[in-house]
Amino acid sequence: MKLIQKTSRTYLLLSAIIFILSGVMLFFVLTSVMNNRLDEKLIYNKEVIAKRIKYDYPLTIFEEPEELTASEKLLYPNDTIIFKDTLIFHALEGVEGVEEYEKYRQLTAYETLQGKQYKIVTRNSLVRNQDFVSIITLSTIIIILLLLTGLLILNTLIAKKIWKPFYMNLDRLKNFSIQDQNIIELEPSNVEEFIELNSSIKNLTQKLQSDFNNLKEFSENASHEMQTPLAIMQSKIELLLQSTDVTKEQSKQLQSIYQAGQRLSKLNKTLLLLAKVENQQFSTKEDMSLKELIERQLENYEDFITNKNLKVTTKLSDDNIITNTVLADTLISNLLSNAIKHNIPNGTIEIIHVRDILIFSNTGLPLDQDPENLFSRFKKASTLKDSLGLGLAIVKKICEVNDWQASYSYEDNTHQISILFRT
Amino acid sequence: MKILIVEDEIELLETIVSYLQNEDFICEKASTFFEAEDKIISFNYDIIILDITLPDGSGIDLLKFVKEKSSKTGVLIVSAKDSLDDKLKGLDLGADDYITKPFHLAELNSRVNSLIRRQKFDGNDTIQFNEIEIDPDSKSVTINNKPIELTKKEYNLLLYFVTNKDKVLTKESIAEHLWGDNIEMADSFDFIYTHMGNLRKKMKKLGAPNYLQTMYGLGYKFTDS
Repeated sequence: MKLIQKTSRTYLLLSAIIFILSGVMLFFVLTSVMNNRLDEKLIYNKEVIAKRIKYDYPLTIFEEPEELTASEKLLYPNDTIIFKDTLIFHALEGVEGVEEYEKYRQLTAYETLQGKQYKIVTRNSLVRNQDFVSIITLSTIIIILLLLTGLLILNTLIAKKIWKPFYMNLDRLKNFSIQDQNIIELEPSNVEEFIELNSSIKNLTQKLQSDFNNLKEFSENASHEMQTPLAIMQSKIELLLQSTDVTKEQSKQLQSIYQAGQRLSKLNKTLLLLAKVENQQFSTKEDMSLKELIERQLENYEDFITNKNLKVTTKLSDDNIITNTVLADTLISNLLSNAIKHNIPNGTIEIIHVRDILIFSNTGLPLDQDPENLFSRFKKASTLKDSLGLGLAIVKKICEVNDWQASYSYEDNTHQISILFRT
Repeated sequence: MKILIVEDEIELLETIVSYLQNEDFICEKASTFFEAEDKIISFNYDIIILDITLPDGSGIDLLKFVKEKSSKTGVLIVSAKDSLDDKLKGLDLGADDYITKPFHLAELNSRVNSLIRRQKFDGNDTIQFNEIEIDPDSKSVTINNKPIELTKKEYNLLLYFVTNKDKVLTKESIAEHLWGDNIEMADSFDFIYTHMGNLRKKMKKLGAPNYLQTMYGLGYKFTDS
């Protein structure tokens, strides 16, 4: 639920409750005020009648009063006044069919006048009062409804206008990429909270970007700085290996050191390459033939292919792609080496390039890991201890910087990696 | 052959010098821009091995300076930065080759040798090792004046061995030389073994003795001693 909806819903609910309560209260207050007025009038009428009875005896305007019943005499021995609302059947004279019950306010007074007990009943129609109260209540309800809808509309409109920059900024945040070197542009607002939010977002993203850049720079610099000591190490051992007075035992140990150094140096080179791809250092793009590139790489890997007795089929279109040559070379080399490495003896490799899609399929055992991790760094098949586990991470990185899509699927013992060049 | 090695890492400098001195090159050392500039002004070198990143200046400037002074001097750039920009810039400015740290000494030696061949004899020189004669220009080999049919890999292998004769060449360095440095397959060592076997057989057929020695599990050595 949106914030606007949530607030206005609560707001509306509360207003409705308050308005209903106050309507009910208004009804009762009005009724009671009117009843009071009426009661006063009834009392006044009663007094008039009582006075008439006192001084004007015998009463001329009334028929001879009946005797009070015994129970009444017993129940109301003294002067008693009773108010009550009552319905009285009412028929209009001369008009047929208009017969209805009407509400009356009735006063019944038991009073002892001239030594005799009287029951004086006066009543007044409540119809007019009732109409009055209903009209007032109805108009109040209409006013309430109008007010509520008006408020709702106004509220939504204002909220939309006020929240507009917020939603725009939210969109921009969604599209924000840490790798983007552009500073995020935020829609200005004159609401204090939003101004604060904007400045916080700005600071945060700038800090993120600078931290990210520092980290990238750091990994690149670290890899660079490692090159020279590695070169010294490697060349010293190579020099040592040339000397004739190294025993077989020493030579074995030297070999271990040398191989560890080699591994480290390969790892370092690969990490450096990853960092460079990430840092967009291969930005010069040219029109190049993927076909030529793939054929050249196939030649380079010929030994590896014949060793496993792999059958390679290619279906390569003459379409050129526009990209960096070093990256394209690395991409193909990694894909091909991956297809060879994870293949089975006498397996097949199929390379297809049609329009803007490149597919490398190879036979192989099922993955022993989650395909989700396939393109992650240092995720490698446990059976290949000599692999660095960076090949596909590089493939993914290259695809990322080129805005290509790499995907993996496995079906019928065939691994398939496809690259979609979006042009 | 006079070589100037410009490298700010003294340890690496010493190693390169001692390896190349073994190959009967006359080596001079410079560890700073200033020192290198001084030597370039005063002497003539056939080859300069130049590290691009120097503490007191850029190797690129030194390269310009060398090429202005004598364009015949071959320059081999060494860099820790495996960046294409540096490489292209260097080659544009007249550098003859480019090698990235860390490298194998044998590879460096092989590059220096190929530079010398190109420079001195315009590539028309043949390399002689006892009865073996290699013509780098036509990429053909003869043994006892009889041509030997070699595959591309076998030829490269032989050339690499002959340029680094009497040296232990590690399997890693051979693999990198043959397949480039982004190969990371363990299988490659087996192929070296296969190629080696084939090469031995072919050479033996034409009457050449077995010059290829296996060094424990470490690598190989091409020697006639």
